[in-house]
Amino acid sequence: MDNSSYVTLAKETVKRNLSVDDLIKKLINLIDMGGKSENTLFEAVYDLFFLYFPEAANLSQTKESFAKITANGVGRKEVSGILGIDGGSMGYDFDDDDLQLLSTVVNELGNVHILLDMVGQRLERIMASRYVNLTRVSGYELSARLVSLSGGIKKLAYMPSSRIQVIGSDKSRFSRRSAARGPKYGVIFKHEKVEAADQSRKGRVARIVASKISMAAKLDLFSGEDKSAALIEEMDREIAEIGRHGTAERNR
Amino acid sequence: MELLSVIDNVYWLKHGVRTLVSKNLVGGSSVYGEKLFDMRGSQYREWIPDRSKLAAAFYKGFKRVDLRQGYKVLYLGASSGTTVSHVSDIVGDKGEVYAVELSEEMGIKLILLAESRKNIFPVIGDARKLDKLITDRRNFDFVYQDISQRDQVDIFINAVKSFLKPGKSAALAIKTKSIDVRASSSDVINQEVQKLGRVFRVDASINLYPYQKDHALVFVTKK
Repeated sequence: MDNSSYVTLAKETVKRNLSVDDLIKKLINLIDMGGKSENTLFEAVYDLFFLYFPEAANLSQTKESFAKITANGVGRKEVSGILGIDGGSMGYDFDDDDLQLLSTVVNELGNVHILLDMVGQRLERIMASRYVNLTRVSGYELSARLVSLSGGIKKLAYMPSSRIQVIGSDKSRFSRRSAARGPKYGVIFKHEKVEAADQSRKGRVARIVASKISMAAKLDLFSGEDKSAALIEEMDREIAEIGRHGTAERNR
Repeated sequence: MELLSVIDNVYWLKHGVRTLVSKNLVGGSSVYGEKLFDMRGSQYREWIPDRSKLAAAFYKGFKRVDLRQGYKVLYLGASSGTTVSHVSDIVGDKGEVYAVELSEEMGIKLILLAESRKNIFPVIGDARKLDKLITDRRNFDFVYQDISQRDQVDIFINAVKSFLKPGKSAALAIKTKSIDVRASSSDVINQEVQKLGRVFRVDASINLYPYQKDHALVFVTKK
């Protein structure tokens, strides 16, 4: 028997089932993996620069400040000019070829950063045009992560909000399966409202945010109509009401 | 170097150490980066136990599997087609492998494999809803399942009941951590083997350690 009809049918199924959610998943993965690579690359480049000009390197140990001091060039003269320190150094003296190499490497590091920014902007546009409610309620990056981890907007929309609250906390969730209480939050922890809340309120804020995300996902899947303003207003009001109505503030 | 036959188209290649190989159906092609050996005018592909649970079972000493040339095989959880390619070697030109996979991403690799191996019939869909995907009931000679889901044993029982010919055998790769992450592997295996024993005759249950951690391969025969 010839398998070509099965191959054709399978190809059609794949084509039909692929959607923008798969693109979102790949882009958020690209941002995560790219960010990791950027950090490893930065460490190695920083070490190289440290050998050449330890005094300046010591003053700017983060990626951002390193980018700032090497903006005009990597030579001791340019870097010390920006920092306002003495150009003399106890570091190893690089010759022109080494300096050229250092300059190229630093430039590439900057390019990786620009690239990741571009990916982020593209993802933001995709999210804002496809899932407007979700993006307004939980930001493009967190929304993309939720869509990716839940396996698509449809699965996210059909998910109970108590599940949404703990998306991305699998390790903790499964290790606590017989415990009285499960985890309070998963990737939702990175939501601005949850981040801003006091430690003792984070769990309850996460619950409210999850319920609004659930509604936003449903709106995006079924109507696409932008009702995010009302959702955000409701979310803020409910968060402000935590602890009122006579319920005691409990520490979890 | 010498070749010792295990089952149809599968051999132990002895060269100081032993290596499991299957006779390559498509000469010259390596599917997932495995080594190729040329001997006596034929080509053999290494079958790596760390990559394939069926190969691990052979390394653990099991060899009475009823899987032959010309068989019609139902393969659930085909993934990218690593083990499928070896099963396709075994059944040969006259055999057929119906490979079911849920994930589109893995399925794409499977479809590309099926383009070069004409005995693989790729099906993209949910193994829980097999009735809608495959119409050929009770006409398979062998069923193999490797799905990491909580209800993997139930999926297997349903598939074997509906699609396997009576008297033929089937194999189920159990991933114990999918069923209960906290229980010990052997407890889960015993419990699932008992469940299978109520419906089928259990021929063997092989713990695949050290090739695959927390996995077992269970062979059953349909009564």
